[in-house]
Amino acid sequence: MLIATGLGVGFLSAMLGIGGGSLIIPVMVLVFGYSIHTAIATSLIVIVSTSNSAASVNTLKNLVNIRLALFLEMITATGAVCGGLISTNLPEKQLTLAFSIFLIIVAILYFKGVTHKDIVNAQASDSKGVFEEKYFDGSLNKNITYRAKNIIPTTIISGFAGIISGSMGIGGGIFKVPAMNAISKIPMKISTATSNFMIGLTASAGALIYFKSGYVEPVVSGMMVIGVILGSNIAARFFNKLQDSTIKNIFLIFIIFVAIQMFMKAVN
Amino acid sequence: MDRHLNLNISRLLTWGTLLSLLFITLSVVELFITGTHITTYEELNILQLLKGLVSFNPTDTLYFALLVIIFTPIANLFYVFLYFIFSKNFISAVCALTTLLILASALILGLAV
Repeated sequence: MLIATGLGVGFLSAMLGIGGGSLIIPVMVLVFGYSIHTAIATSLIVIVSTSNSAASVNTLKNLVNIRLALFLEMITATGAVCGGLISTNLPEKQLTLAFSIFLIIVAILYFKGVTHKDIVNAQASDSKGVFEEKYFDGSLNKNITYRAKNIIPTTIISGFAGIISGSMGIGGGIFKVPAMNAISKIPMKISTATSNFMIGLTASAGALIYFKSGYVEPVVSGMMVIGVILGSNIAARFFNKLQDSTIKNIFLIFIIFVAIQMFMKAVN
Repeated sequence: MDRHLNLNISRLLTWGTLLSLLFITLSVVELFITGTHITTYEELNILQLLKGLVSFNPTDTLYFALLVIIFTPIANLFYVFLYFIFSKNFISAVCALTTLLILASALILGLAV
């Protein structure tokens, strides 16, 4: 059961560029009956494992923009430290409610706002931008060159994602991926692969702390890791063949799922 | 991006993943051979863990496998930092070093970022 859960989580996380904490923690607590600390510790190890496994394939296919990832990670990690420091002073119920409403707004704007055609047009018509890279798109069967536009708003959102991540224990990919895709006009595949690479770095520090504190259940984590490595490898291998719009639609369903989950948590 | 950098990052991550899988498998084998069971440590002592690893204790082997997973992206980030230093891309090197320092400070502060 644990290996199968890991497989599903690894598959979805690798495809969407998310950590997967919002999937693992409820399953571990509600289905398997583990304590929240064990669930978080396992979730962090699983996130690192997903990231390692998916990024090993994605970097080889040039789908990860390393320089952009390093730049944004610097800001996200700073935000995460700040989030961790202020989390004890924040009213959890109101914050969770605000977060769920904000996510629904993000989902609506994102769904209506940007299409793959917009991204292609923006990249073709405007030569401005930073962190230029190119990659081979398997679904379009051609090389695509792209630059990150409007990097300042994306950086601010990444910092905000870090604060949310540090204070609420989620990966932050749910904010970073739409920001990179919709604001910086980076193709969806690059956004998710870059986010996935970044999440592994952020989660490793958290995982070490939980590891040291003795919250890690080695058997649970080990079994989940086996499943996750398999799942994320499968996802990463056929990820480049998927249409950007398909990844985006799955991502939207995930945002709505997390928003409902957060809303229920705040209301109850 | 430099093909070399991507290739080496991919290799490092693959090796980390394979090494952790190897230790997980090893711990299962040790479990059957020694006939003991895997326990959960209240607090972790790295030196004790390494001693257990060389004496084929399945619990320590499994904990070590998880440590390998956690340290893989950190080692990767350190490699990226060195790569950018040697290729004289100092802006990216500063970004990598800053991220390393922030992660280290999070560890010192005891924050699970």
